[in-house]
Amino acid sequence: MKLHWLWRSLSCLSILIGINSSLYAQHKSDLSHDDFFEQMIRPTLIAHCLECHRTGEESGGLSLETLSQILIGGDRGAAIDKSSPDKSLLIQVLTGSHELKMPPDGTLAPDQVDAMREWVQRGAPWPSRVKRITNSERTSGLSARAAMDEHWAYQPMGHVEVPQLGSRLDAECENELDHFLLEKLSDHQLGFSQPASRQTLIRRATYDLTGLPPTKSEVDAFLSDQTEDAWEKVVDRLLQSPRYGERWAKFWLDLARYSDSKGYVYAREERFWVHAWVYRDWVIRAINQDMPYDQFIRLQLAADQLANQPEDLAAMGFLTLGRRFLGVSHDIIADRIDVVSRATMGATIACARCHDHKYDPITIDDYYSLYGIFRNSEEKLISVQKESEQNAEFLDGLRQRQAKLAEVLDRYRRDASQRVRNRIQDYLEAQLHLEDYPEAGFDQIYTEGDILPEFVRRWRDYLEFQSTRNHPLFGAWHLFMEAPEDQFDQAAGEICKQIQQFGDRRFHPEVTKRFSHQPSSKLEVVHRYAELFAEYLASVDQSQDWDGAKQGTDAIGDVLFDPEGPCVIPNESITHTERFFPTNQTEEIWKLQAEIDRWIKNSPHSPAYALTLSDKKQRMLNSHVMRRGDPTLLGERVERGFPRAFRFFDPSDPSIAESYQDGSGRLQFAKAITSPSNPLTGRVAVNRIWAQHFGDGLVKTLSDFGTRADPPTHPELLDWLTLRFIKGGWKQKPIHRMILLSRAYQQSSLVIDADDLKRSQRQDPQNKWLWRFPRRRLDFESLRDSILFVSGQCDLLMGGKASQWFDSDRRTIYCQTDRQFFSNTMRTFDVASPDLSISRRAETTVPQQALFFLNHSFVLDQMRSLVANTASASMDEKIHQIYSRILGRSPSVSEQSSARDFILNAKSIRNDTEEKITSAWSYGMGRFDSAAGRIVDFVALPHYSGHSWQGGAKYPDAQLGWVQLTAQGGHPGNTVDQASIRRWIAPDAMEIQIDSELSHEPSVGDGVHAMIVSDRSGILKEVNVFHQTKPLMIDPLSVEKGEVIDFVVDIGGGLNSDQYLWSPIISSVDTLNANSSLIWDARADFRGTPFVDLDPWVAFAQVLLSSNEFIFVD
Amino acid sequence: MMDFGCSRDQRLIGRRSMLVRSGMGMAALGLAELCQDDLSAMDANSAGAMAVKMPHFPGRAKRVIHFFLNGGPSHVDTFDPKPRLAHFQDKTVPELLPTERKTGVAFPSPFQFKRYGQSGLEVSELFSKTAEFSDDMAVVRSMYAQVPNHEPSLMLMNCGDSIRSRPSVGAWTLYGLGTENQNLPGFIAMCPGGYPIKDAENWQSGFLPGAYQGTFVDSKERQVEKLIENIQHSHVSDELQSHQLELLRKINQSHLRKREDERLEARIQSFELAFRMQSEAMDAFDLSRETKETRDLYGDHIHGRQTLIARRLAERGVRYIQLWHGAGQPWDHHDNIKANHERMAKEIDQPIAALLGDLKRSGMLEDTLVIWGGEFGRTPTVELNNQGQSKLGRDHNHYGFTVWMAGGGIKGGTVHGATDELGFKAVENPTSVHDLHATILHLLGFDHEKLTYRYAGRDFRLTDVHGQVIAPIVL
Repeated sequence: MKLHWLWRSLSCLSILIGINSSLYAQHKSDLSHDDFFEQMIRPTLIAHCLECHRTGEESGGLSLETLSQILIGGDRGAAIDKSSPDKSLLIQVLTGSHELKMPPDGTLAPDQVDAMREWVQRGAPWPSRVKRITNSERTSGLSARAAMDEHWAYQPMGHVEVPQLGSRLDAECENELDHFLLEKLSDHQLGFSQPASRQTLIRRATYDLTGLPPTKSEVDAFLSDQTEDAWEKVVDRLLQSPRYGERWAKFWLDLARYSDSKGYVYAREERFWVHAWVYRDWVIRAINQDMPYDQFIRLQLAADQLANQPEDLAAMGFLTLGRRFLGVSHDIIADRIDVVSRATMGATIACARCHDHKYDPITIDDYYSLYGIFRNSEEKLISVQKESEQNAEFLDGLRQRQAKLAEVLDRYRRDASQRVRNRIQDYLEAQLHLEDYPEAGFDQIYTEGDILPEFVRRWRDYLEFQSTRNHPLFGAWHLFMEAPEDQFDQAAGEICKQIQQFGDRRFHPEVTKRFSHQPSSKLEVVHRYAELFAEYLASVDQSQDWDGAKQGTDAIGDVLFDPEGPCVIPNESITHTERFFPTNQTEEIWKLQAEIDRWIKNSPHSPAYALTLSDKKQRMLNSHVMRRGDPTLLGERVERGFPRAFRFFDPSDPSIAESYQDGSGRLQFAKAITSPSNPLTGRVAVNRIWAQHFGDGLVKTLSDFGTRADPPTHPELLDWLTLRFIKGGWKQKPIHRMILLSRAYQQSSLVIDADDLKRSQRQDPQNKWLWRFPRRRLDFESLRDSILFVSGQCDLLMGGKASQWFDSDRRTIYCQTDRQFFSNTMRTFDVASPDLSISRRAETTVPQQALFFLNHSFVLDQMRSLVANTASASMDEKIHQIYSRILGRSPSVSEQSSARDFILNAKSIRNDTEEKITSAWSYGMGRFDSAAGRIVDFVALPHYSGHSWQGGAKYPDAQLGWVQLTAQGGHPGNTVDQASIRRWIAPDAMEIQIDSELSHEPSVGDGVHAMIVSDRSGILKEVNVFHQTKPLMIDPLSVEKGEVIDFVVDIGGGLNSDQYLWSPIISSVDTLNANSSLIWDARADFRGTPFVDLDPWVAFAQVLLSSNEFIFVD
Repeated sequence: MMDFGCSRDQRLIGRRSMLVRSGMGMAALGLAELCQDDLSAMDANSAGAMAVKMPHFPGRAKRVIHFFLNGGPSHVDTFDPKPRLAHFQDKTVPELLPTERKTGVAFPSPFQFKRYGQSGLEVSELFSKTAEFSDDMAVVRSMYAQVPNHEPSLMLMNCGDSIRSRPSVGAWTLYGLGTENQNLPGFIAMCPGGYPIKDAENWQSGFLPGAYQGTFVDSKERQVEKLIENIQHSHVSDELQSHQLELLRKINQSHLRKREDERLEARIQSFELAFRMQSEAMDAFDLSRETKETRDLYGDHIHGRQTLIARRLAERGVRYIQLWHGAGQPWDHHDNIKANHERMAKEIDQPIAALLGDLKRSGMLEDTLVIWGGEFGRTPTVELNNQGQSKLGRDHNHYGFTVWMAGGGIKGGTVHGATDELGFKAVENPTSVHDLHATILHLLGFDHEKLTYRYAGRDFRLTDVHGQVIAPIVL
């Protein structure tokens, strides 16, 4: 195959090489020899050359694996000539200046060629530590062997003694954790800060464990509890609270890249997952029940094989609620591998999708070992409730929809099989040109008449699988196909001879018959096979169902009809089979599937569903390595199994040390991850708990325990705690408890003594030794929940389908996360991206967050409720109540007085503003009496639409017609005598100026006629405006108190396209004090009902809610 | 500009400044006192994630305006003339490449091409007004993408990866440079009428902090208040809000006293910025502040307005501005390309020309990079319906297409690369989207290989492991 392909490619090549790039020189020439080799040479050799030029495959007698092999060269002599680079064979074949042109699969990028030339110019430097490069070269910085010996995270956890610090320091410790921490602190001449106040402690712990603030009564109870174990009781109460699961589930959901929607799915699938909320509820429940962490993980990977109760199937949402990636399975699987390996083991295995991991001992083979596990798993949507318990109406609707899908699916599957069987010749011929059928996503639209690439690949895999079986039918096929193209005649003769020799003992009689004489080409082999199948097909009735009993007895029939054969679409969900159908059928099937999904999603009676993975029923196929992550560059198949560098974790445990043969291997993988001898999983879990309590992990990179991770600040503590965790049955609550009861946790975030503070900051600016408790900022979920909580509106209903963010009062974890329309508000508050496994959120401070507090209706509505719920009382008492609701404490004397000032001040502003605006403007209609030079018959417009004053709700109004006034302009009434009038009345005698311009935009009609008229002095300005903009300015003008200034517009000539823009600004001119000038802005002041400024109490509550004290937890 | 002597805002600010002096202004003063021994911390902190940052080297471009013709404009009908197509009229082309749908015979462009400017750049009548600026443009005629489908190609063009969730170019730019005006979002994506295909993913921040995500603006909306989230404060008067902020500052100051913590200070600052943003954002989107002449120059329609807003945003220091043509994929003309392309081009040719002219006059073109292009081009062959008949349109073509850039360090009047004689495939200097991204970053002052962010155990970059600056088009 390879030779054939190579030859074909060579003959039609016209290589364009040698375009020099000046930039290349700038960037690369200053690299050291070793770096240059690693960055520019080794990758090119591996990617483009070694496939044909390596040990055992020395095309042209040349291997490029070692420097000496390159220098010795192959059949054509030395590959390089250090003295004259451009005459080197290697450079000549790469630049196209030699009759032989390489590489055969196309051109190298110009910079690759340039680099190769420079490499020769440099004298072909080859790093001394590199002996040999190979295709499966371990380019990672750490070999498996070294991993075993060196990297801390891969070492088993040994017994750790709790340090004894001498009586003085020991006395400061509350529990073992403090011994470890205080040891490091005193090594650095540091110590714990003073204990935090009880007020601070209960707020800290309540937020920490439940994501909500404590209630006033909880605070009071703790403050007055004089018993020894008052604090323990608080901690235990919080750990028992169902709110705890709601809080801590979120951290896991961030890691699980939780979203209720699938991401972009073309317009054919339902875009929301039906099972996401069920998974979310399962996580909350598991955490509340303190499900052992190992079981928690195992169920999420393999509940299909482990679940004792159907509800636990929901756990597999962890794998299945990722993005749909436009249906590209390579990416879906990559996402699963990434999420699983980072969330559980802090292993960045997804880095090895394209090449060996750069730093960790993970190879590309390891990646595809895991890939094989997921490749052999199929998605299934399963109701976790018994049918007998389900609502009949729901079931009816569901069955109808399922039946419709089944019917169509069945028909299309049969049609597809029929088409494939009738075109076997085409599908076999395609095997000669596999490169024309790359494995990729959806990119072409296919019709029934097309060769479907997915079936080509199914044939490919089928044939490959048969080759391992000495297949009587296809054994001969493989012999022919492997024959070198240029010696085909000779080879074919040999093969035919062999076939006849072995005869029917080894080959199918139809094969021996057909290859009694030698085929002249591979194409002819294809034709003879095709003929064989065609003859068979002509002899059977295709409309009959395939008799499963015949399986294995009729080799040709097996190929054509066996459900596992290459002519039949696997009976799996459309998710896996969509590419086997012509595009329009795929769309139709998806739409029917979407009907089912929507029925489940929207029906109020639908039961909970789980989207599970289960091992495919069909034979398991190991995955090929895809070089550079490219599905068209297939390497060897690799066995499924745990990453090889990790296999030393426990050589006696088959799930860790052996390749997976039974099923997909998912169960074994889950066991390997959660084995007590796996040193990663426990450490990663404990470190995550630590980080959520103390802001930072003992290891800073929570999801990366590879060689580039920072080593732990307290390695012994990490191991001691991890061992305790595992020995305690992987229970998380005892770990929380121990942390909260430690002295370290109970210390203050403030350091009172200024000198102490300065010294500590100098010594340890990042507080990594924990000389004080780190202050935390509320994340978005806690923030929103707290706002609801303090306002008294928080609905603590647990579980169920997702609610919407801002029209629900439920806790935020129950609100919909939509990865496709991920809201700006959430992004602004650093909510984790639902596309990526996030271990720690960014914490940014941007003005858009402040705008949320200032202007979002959610904040205002909640504060209105809060104020409405404070019993009417004296001002001081009310201030007191609001302080206590929001900040959980009483105001100080000076705070009380500031608050009082604010309320009084706000009340007067409120009256002033309201008075100033509403008394000045009115909106009406009237007539200009030219004799009197005044407006007469002014009537106020009766209806406000929300953005305009007009005749009635319906516009134009039956009686008043087109007349309308908006903030920006308006429309005159239907006749000249029905002018629109924006009226301003002077509140005082003063000097004013008027700035304005009037725009009439339409180019049809005859424009409008406008005037500014004073009731004291008549017309001040007058213009006709048509399809243009004209200024209307008056400066200055003295007005009396109560003088009326009208801004009048009539239709001019006729009623046609008379809408206009005109929003004057009137300002008082105070020559003495520019700052005290008053402004009436027609646009800004425009309102329907009189403007009512925010209620002073609401404004006050909003301020407290926006305060740092509310957002930060000491 | 309307001549009011002094604008309403100036006056309001006059009135406001009094309040500010008594209230808000003190905040900065108070802070400075508190942080006397650590002023640098305050500097670094004052704008948080968005503070202006220095690039690797002085960039030629300070900001980007990207016209995104979503759907895929046809290069052979706009900036890549292919007279040879006429020779193949109604004939099968020598190499018919597979695209999303079936295409048939060669389809010569129904549009006339003309040479423009000193460079003699050939441009079709569709962009005759834009073409007047051909001496400022570098036209890359040899772009290629990976697949002939919108979704992956949009992701590739915007985020550098067709499938996986990665930060967009705009997000990387903010991450690298911050933004010059803290009172406005630093990255604004405008699209009239709703979202393009792939929605907010086109301007996502991916694994970068959420602050770097593009702010979506439905530019069809004419009410300023509806353009930016939470920008309006119609429930409260300026006066009362000032009082609220004054009280907030007081409360926060006393809270801060015992707790020196830069995060607390940053948050105090953010409220002052937010207060200013309310008026500044309103102003930026308010086109009534432009003269009628200017508004007419851009055109009084959605695209004219959107483009004029873009200029106002650019003037105000917004770092990255994307102008989408419309919701969905308006440039996706599988049939009747003549009428459809004509209609689309008519909507933006004049605004683009007006913008280029405006920027040039004001000197801003010097450091503003203007980009024009779609997610891919279209086939030089005609698309066929299921019966094999011509639809007089073109299918998607990722093998070769055109993007042009102007200003911001671009060498004007240049053409880079070429497609084959019929315009199907990039053959001369094939230029990947990663190369384009490398070039954009280069113009902004970055070595694209060094602008990295650590995520999932690895340093990620916009160009992943690819990309080379297109040197010949860079000044």
